[in-house]
Amino acid sequence: MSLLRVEGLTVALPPGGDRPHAVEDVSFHVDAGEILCVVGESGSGKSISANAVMGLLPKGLPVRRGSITFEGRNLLSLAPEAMRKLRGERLAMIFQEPMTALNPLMRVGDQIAEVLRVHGSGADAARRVPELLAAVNLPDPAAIARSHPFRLSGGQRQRVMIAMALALEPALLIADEPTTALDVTTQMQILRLIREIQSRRGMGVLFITHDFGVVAEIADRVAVMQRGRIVEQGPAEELLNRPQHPYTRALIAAVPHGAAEARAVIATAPVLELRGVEKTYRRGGFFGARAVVRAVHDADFTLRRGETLGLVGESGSGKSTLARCVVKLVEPEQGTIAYHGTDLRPLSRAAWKPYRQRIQMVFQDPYASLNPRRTVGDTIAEGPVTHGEPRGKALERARELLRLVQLDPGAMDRYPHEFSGGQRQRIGIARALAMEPELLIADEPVSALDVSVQAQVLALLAEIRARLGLTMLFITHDLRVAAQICDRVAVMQRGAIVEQGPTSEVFAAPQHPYTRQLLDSIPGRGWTPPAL
Amino acid sequence: MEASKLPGFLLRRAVKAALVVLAIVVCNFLLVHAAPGDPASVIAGQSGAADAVFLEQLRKQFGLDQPLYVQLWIYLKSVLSLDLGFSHRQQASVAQLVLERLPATLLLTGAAFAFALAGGVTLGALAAQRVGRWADSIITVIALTFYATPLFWVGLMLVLVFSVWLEWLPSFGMSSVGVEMHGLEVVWDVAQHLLLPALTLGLFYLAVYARLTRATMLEVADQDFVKTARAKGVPEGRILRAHVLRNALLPVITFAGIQAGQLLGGSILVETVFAWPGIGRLAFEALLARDYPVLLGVFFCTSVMVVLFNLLTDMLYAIIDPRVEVAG
Repeated sequence: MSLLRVEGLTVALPPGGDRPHAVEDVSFHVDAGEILCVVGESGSGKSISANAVMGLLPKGLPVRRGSITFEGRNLLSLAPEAMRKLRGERLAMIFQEPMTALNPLMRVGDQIAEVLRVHGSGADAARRVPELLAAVNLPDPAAIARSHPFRLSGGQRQRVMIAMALALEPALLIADEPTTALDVTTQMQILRLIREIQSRRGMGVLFITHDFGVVAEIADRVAVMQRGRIVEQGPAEELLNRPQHPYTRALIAAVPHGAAEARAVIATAPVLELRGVEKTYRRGGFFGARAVVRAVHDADFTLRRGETLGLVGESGSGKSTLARCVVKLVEPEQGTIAYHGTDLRPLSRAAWKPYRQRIQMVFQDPYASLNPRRTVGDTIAEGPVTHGEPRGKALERARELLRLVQLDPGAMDRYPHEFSGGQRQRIGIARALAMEPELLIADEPVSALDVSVQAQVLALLAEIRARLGLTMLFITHDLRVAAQICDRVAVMQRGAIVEQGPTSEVFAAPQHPYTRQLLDSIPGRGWTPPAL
Repeated sequence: MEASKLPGFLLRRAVKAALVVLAIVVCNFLLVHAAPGDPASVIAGQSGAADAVFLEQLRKQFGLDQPLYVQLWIYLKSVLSLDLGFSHRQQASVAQLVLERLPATLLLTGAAFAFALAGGVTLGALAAQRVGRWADSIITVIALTFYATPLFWVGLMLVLVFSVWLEWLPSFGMSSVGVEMHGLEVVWDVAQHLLLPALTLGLFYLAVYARLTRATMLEVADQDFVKTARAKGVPEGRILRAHVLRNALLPVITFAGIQAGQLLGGSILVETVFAWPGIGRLAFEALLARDYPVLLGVFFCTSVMVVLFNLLTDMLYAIIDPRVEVAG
């Protein structure tokens, strides 16, 4: 008998949604000692399914049909109090955002002890909490237990969450995108940890993810969800290498494969040369204690005309700061930023203005980087109008640009909230292109997007770049994305570029230990997506 | 905050606070002197013999004939030596006048503050817990009513109901006149007198706290860590107390700090309505009489209070929220 068996589960959406049911007729099972990965893009209903099992669905999403049987009991017919007793004791869950999933005002040890206490084993807390923290490989468990969450890194917090979930040795662990918000190296550590604990204790794990790399890394079996339905499920090896359903095939085809093909060496004239640029953040001073962070140092690079250089690194490595130095969103203290031989760094705001047109930026968050109160047309035309172009002409051009980024020109008079994430990112690209830039700086332009949308936007960027002869500085934390689009990559760690070279060479023969570590952390490295 | 950082923090803040108070003292002085009329003209007017020579004589006597910057310098010097000056009208030192009245005001505002905070947070928490149900609606209506009603009107209505009609509570003063009392009797008597003015003064803030608590609790209830607590199997009551309420209190504390500073000044109206012998009435009377030294003394006292309460709020905040680094 399966540990968990979900059958015919249907959860309604509030009226007025894009479909009547959040999940419809979903059936799957998890056995003890196995990991079932539920894969899907945002809005596919994978989290709703997981929350239904935990009995944590919001009031607006009632279960209409189906059954959820766990250890022989139907969870849907349990009284709230009986369900509460199961949660944390037999069923545990970890979440996507480690930064917000812990109570900021409560010590980490107390939060773990709380699980024990509310299930009647509070007496053991003093002994068990350090044990649990040690079991998730946290150094100095006693000190961590006394810390508040804000003292810990994202990876450490996720370990605390796991320790908390495992406190009472549950039979089933539900992990809802537990590594999505983490850096690749941390992600790999957490995946290994979950794998290891799961096999040691024989737990069942229901693992939700959107990343096929993660699936390849961890899954025993896989279920693929699309628009609230499971379209395909089967053993991981089978499904990853011989997907049947068209949607699964499309998803797997969109996965950046991480193999960098050799590209022709570009030996054109340099567009941008950074030499000795340094940015140091200082906090405090005068009365308080001083903290110094060297955000960027030893990060020289040359970008040639028509070339795409990838700046690769984990969060806090200084890659965004470096890019922002180029467009003077951040002002470095030292060094030269030579654009066609002119040092941009000492220029005043006014002297900078002509260059604003030549150097444009695409930002990471397509939700936050567009003004919600302006129409798309106005947003795109704003830059050229500021630089003296007649309004009519700028709007005409905006229309053309929308066509270029494969959006309907009818989008001109609509507002950003009417578009999906991928469409907004296209608008962001059109906005940058409106200035007819020579150099495009793309700061994580696809990391907030679903994998299929990500593939489309990357293809669009590659095409535009070829068509307009753009030079591009492409910032990303995802090595697989970098492999796909960059001619050369520069790997950043703690504010410095530790290695740079042609993408295929860096990937094939990494010189620096950190580069090797990053490459080894790419999830699903052992899996080569089948050619579809 | 780590306890070891506290002394350094306090020292730095004390230096800053002293500078702020000094600046306020200068501002107060200039403000008071910017108002038309001076004590000499008021005294002369009241004595009925207002010829120019007498006026000049009075001005000379009070030092009002000196240039403003000299007067400021003299005032600053005396404040720095903790001498708040002498009220010629009341024939008493300002420090003595203020200190006599201060306890009454502190009692009134302290009671109002405690009532507003405890009542407001409780009502807000109840409303948040029963959001959308009748209890929530009733609390919201009550809070809005007190929020929108002028203080003096609430005061007068309370007097009308509880003193005039029901004759339960005294309507003015701080203690019964002409009755000999001892020990607990005195406490009981003062408490009876305190109830109506404290209610009047506190109701507005009670409404503010209720609204604020309700709003932040609903906001916090949506946060991820509350879901984590639920997934841990924590009972609802404990989720509300240990996770939601505690986090929701942070903005309430910020606001309470502002209110605590304002209560001293805000009590003028209530002290007048209820004839409460506090510092507010002293200021009011001093203003009418152009009694500059007393007025400045009251201002000084209240500004010190505001600075002190701000400091206290910051410390409390740093203790409750470990993320807040106390910065000098």
